[in-house]
Amino acid sequence: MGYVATIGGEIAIEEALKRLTYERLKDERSLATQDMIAGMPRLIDIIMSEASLYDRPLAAIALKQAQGLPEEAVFLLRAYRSTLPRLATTQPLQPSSMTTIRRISASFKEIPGGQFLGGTPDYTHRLLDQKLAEETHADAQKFVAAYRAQCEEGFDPTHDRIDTNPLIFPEKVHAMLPSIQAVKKVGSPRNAFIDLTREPPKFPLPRSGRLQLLTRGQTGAVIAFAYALQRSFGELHPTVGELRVGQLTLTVPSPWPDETEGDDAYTIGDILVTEVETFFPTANLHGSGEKEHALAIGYGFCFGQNESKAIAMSMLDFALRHPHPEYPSTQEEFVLYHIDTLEASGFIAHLKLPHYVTFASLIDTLSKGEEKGHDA
Amino acid sequence: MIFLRRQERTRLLLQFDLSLLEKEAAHICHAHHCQTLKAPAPGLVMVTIQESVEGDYFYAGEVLVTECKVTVDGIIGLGLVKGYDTRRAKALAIIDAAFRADFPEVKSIEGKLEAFKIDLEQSLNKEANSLAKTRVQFETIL
Repeated sequence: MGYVATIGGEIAIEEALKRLTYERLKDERSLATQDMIAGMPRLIDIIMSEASLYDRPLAAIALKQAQGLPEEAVFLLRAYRSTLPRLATTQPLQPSSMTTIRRISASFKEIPGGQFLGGTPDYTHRLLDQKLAEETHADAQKFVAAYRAQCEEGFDPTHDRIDTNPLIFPEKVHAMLPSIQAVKKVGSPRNAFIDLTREPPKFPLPRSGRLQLLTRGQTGAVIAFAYALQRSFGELHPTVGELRVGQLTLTVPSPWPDETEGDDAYTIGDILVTEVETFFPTANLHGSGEKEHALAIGYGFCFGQNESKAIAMSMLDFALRHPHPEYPSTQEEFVLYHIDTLEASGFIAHLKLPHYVTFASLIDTLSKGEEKGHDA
Repeated sequence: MIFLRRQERTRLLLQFDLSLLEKEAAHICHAHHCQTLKAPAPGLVMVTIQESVEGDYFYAGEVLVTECKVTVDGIIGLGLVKGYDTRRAKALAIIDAAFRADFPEVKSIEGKLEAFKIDLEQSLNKEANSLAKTRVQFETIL
C-alpha cells in the first residue's frame, strides 16, 4: 500500500501557515539575522555542518524561518542547496594549513608550536551568568575595545616582516609518536573517492564516503553513537592527539587549460573548521600468535567550531575501520544510515502526516481477524 | 610582468576594500571594452579535504559562492568569492581579466596589493599576539 493523494484541508493549511508566522512574531519582535550570526555562532556552525552548506547568512535565515528548530533549518538549507549549480570543486585542502585560533592536545603537554586554548568554556564552572539578560550593544563595544587594547600590549608594530603566517602549524602532533603502523605518509589518495550527494550510499563504502556522511551527520547522533563506543558498546577510550580550530583557505583550480600551476588557483575565501586526531591503543596479532601493542588514529573534521562532534567523528572513523559484530556503533550501515539529520528527522516527522488509508486498511485487517476469531 | 601569482593576488583582493576594488575595476573598464558574460550569480563549490591520517580525500560539504564572468578586450576574467557578494565578484572578474591580459593597469593594482599585504601581516601578527596570551605554559604549573 503506497501513499494516496487526498483533497481537502487547503484553507486549514493556509491558516496554519499564517498561524506559524504569527507564532514567530507574536511578541512583535523580529530577530535580526546579523544578531543571530554574531551572538549564536556555534549554533550557526551546527546548522551549516549538518546542512553540508557553508554560509552564515543563509544558516541564520533558515534558523529564523525555522523558529530555532535545527532539523527544520537543515531541511530548508538542504532544499535551497538543491536549487544551486555546483560551479567547482576546491583543490584538495590539508587542514594543517588552517590559520589556527585554537590548538590543544590531551596526549602531550609540549607540542611543536605550542598549545593555544583560544576561546573555550572548557575550564569554566558553568555558572549561569544572569547578567547577560541585561547586556547591551554598548556593553559589547566596551568589552571589545578593552580586550583589543589588552591584546596589543607588548605588540611591536615595527617588527620585521614575516614570510610565513605565524598561526599556521604545519607539523601534526602525530609526528611525535614513535612509530605508528596506521600513519601513512600523506600523499595520493589510496581509496576510491566518491560523492554521496550525487549517488546513493552502497555499503561497504570507501572511507571517503564514510567521512563525508560523518562530517554532515547530526551532532547529537554522532556524539551519541561515539558515546556508546566509550561505554559498554565498544570499550574505546581514545586520547585526543590534536584538536585544531581555525580558518581554512579555499582554493579552486584555474578553469583555463593553459594555467594549471598550483599558484594559478583562485583563492575564494576562508571557512571556519574543526579538525581532530584521536589516538587509540590497538594490538596487532602476528602469525606466531604474539601480540604487538600499537596506536591507531581516528580522524574528525567538520564545518565550524564543533569540537565534540569532531572528536566523536574521529572515534566513529576508527570504529568503522575496526568493526566488531557485538557493537552496533562499529557497523557502518547502522551508524551512517541513522546519523543524517534530514533522513532521520524526515522519516520520524512523516509519521504525523495523514496515513488515513493505510491506517484504515490496518483497522480493516484487525477487524477481519477479530471476526474470524468470533467465527471460530 | 606580473609579480603576484593568482592564488596570492586573489587572497589579497578578497580582503581589499570593496569600494577601492570597484574603482580599480571601473578604471580598467574606462580604458578597455568590458562585457559581462555571466552576471554575478550564486552557486556552490564543493570542499575537498585530504585527511592527515591515511591521506584519503573526502568531500566535506559545499560553500555558497558568487560567480561572475566578464570579457575585457576579449579576454575572459573570472570572479569567484565565498558568500553572496555580487559587487565583489564582478570587480574581481574584471581585474582577473586585466591580469590575464597583462594590461598596464595591473602594475598600479599590484603596488596597492603589496602595501595592503603589509597591513594584513600586521593584523595577523596582532592576532598571533592575542592568541599567544592563551598559550599554555606547562612548565609554570609543574
